[in-house]
Amino acid sequence: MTTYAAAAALFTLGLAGVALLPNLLRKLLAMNVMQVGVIVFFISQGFKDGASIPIVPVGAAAEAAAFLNPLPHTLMLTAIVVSVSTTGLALALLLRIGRSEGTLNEARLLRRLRRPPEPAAPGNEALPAPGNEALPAPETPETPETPEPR
Amino acid sequence: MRRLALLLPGAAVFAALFLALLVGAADLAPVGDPGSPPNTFVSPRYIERAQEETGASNLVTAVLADYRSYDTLGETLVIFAAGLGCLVVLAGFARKSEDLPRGLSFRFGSDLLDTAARLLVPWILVFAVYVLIHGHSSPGGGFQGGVLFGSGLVTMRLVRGSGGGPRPAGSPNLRASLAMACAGILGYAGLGLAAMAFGGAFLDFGTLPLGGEPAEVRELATLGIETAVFFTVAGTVCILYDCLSAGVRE
Repeated sequence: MTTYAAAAALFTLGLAGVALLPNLLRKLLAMNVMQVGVIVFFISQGFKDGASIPIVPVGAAAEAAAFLNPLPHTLMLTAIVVSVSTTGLALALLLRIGRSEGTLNEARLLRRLRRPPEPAAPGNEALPAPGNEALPAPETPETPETPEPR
Repeated sequence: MRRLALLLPGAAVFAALFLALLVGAADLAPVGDPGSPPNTFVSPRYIERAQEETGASNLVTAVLADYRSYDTLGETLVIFAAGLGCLVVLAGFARKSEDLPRGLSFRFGSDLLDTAARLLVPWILVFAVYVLIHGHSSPGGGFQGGVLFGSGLVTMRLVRGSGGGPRPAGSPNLRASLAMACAGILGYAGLGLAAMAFGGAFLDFGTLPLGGEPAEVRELATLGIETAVFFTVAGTVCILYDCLSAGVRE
């Protein structure tokens, strides 16, 4: 039960981070925490009391009760490497967003997306900083102005 | 203040989710129960028969590379696709050195780092190959060895720089990593197709004409699969590093 609670806590913390954190990079790291929760859960499912690691000595009789279930280990082994790769791909996307938009803050990115591409709308003339659209890659990649307390 | 107003309901929702998960977990079999559903059905079959059928002491390797080889082919493809995706997202997008802000210039190759890397990296690479080859009889295998091998290569690049190629598509290191990953994935699929050519099912290695008992043939083929995974993973780790670091001024 403790193991389940730990896995549930990790999963919930990660999911809450994905939903609530303002910065995309933090969301990504929170997603990794969530994956660790899932991995803990799966590995716990393969555990048996009093069993040894799933490596059968050559010539030994292989009783099912004497060795841990190898299946969750196998699945999680690949899941870990896949999570490394997906994290790498997500980092590439974040790098590109950060370089072209100058921020990884979700709220600011959304505001930028909602802003019309050209200041043609009569009411919006004052809003976009002049010359900002001409520079696709601002100098500072990311400036988290207000570090969130949580 | 607005964030706090948003955070509190969010925290309440996730606290409720946590409680729901706990309530759900109460219905699961207790951890360590040998009779729980995941530990029955197919699992005892793997444990009791794997060694005589596949020749691998390490049951994880037997399941990974033989019984569930098709699964592993898919996982390897996912990894390869992630590497390619990184390449596609960042190719041609490397920032030119002049665009980098001041203070973001990296210097490679101090004497201390050089010496440490020269002492460490060969052992990392040898250990990676050991982990790969010993995956049959001890913890290890293609994924672990591949990650070790890739991190050895990345360590070298971190210390020595990656050749200073400004664009990822033109970097010789990246081409080598790509070739390594492609060779791995092609070797995996090729082994599966070879098994088909000799009358077995796709990825059913018992029929390969390698001499010896079916279990011995499967053991050899498992090593081949693990090697293919090794190259794919090592290549992808290097692709990820090369793409993410492309355009850094050295």
